[in-house]
Parts: sequence; C-alpha cells; structure tokens
Amino acid sequence: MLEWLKQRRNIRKIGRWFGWVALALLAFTVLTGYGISQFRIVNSLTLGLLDKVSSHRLHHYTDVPLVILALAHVTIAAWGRLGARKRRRTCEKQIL
Amino acid sequence: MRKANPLILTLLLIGVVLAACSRPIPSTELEGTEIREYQGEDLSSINDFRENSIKGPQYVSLDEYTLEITGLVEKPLSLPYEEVLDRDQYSKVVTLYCVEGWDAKILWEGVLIKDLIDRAGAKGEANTVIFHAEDGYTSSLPLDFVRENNILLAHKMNGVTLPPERGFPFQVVAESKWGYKWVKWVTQIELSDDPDYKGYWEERGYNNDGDVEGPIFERP
Repeated sequence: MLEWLKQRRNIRKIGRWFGWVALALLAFTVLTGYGISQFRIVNSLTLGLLDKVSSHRLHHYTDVPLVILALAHVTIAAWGRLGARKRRRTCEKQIL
Repeated sequence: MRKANPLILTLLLIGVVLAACSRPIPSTELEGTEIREYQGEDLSSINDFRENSIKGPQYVSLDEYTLEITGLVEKPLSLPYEEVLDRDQYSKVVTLYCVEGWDAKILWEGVLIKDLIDRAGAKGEANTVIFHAEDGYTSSLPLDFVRENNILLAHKMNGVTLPPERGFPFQVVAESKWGYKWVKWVTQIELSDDPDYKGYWEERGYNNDGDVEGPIFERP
C-alpha cells in the first residue's frame, strides 16, 4: 500500500477521486439547500425522501466534508503541477 | 379677447358648489406607507420575507373569518376580526430569525395574546397555547412564556396591514423563537395541558422549544 502511495501518479489519482466526490457532495449540498428553502418542490421531486427537516440535517453534515475534500483535491492538484514543472525544468537543464 | 359674462360665471360657480354638496364625499381609508425606520432603527421591508409556508399563501376572507379561542378555557370565544382588534393595541420591534438563515427586523403592531386568553378565562391546568392556521399548520408556545413576554398577535407590520402573503389577518410574534413558531393566518388559539404538544415542524424534527439561542433540531 505504502509503495503504491509513493508513486506520484497514484496520489494524483486519489486527488482526482477527491475532486469527483467533492463535486457529487457539492451537488448534494445544493439539493439539500433547495430542500430547505424550496421544500415543497424538492419533497415532491424526491418522492417524499427529502423533507425540509431531513434536508436541513443533511445540509449541516455535508459542509465540513465538502470543504476538506475540495481542499485536498486542490492541494494534491497543485502539488502535482508543481512537481511536474520542476521535473520539466530539470529535464530542460539536462538537455541543455 | 371677449370678456366673460359675470352672470354665467356666477351661475357656473353655484352649479359646481351645489353638485359637490349634493353628493356625499366618499371616505376611503388609504393604505399607509410602509415604515422603514423606527426610533432611529432601520427596519427590514415586508418584502424581505421568503415564502416558506406549507401550502402557499392563504387568502382569508374577513366575511367568514372568526378567531376561535378554545380548549381549556372557561368561556370559548369566537371573535370576528374587528372584535379582536377592539382592545388595547401594542407595538414593538422584533426580529424574526428563520432556520433557513435569513432574518427580518419589523415593527409589529397588534393585541396581546394574554388579553385574548384572559377574556376567555384560562383554566388552571392550561399550560400550553396551540396556534392553528388557516392552512392546517400548527405550533405551540408555553402559556407562561406568552404571558411573561407579552407575545403579540400582530395585524400590522411596519405600519401596514399584514398582506395575505405575510399572514393576514393575524400572525403570532413569537419573539426569541425560531420562525416556525411565528404562526401566520391564525384562526384558532387553543389552550392545552400538554406541554409536549408538537406542531407541524416540531413533529418532523425541529426543536419544540424553538429558542433562537438553542438547538434547531430536537435530537442532535
């Protein structure tokens, strides 16, 4: 597992997955947000699954994981980009 | 230019005066303008509210409207709109805090709910006031809270009569409680001995105390 994590490519893969999960969570947060303010519409669209109170509870639970996932995604992506740039410069120097 | 005949002018003037006197001058009460500042305090607009009722705005006809005061009272009452207003009027600036995250500071004007209850005569065992709305919505407040905090049954906000969208004819001004305690379109005030009575949203999980300082949900 540790060996697998040591590979830069795999960490970037995890970062991408964080991004997708964050995106899904963002969509869910928007839906539960509408479930609070537009509860009549959301309740009927979700066939009674999301009412105002359950939307409100879920909305409260999603904000912290959303921020963590988004930050992790951005951090890993930035780290990957910086690493790639460094490697490119090293290669250019070697060629020169 | 020809000079106007003074006789014709006089007759015309008399005619106008007589016509004006023969018709009764209609007395139409114009709707006041919304107040946006009160005693140096900026107020929200009556349009700052979001529509979040369970069945949409209710349009209550005063021809059929009566406010019922029922439950644990000595003398159940059924009061027409004008009769509800026929008592001391009070006003105060209170902010409504909604669980959705918005708020509105409004000058409310109305009658004290405790005055209405006292007129009906609360029985000794009564400890809870349940408010019923036109759309079937309900919520409750402790009787002591209503008495001690001079809770209003408002018929005006910012100096204008409550619009149908804001709860005409009456809205409970449950100060320091979440917005779901501020029942609109009140049709019935019921006194009960059940302190655990749960209204529409309370039954679905919002806190029964409804304190703005307290938790929003009944269970964490």
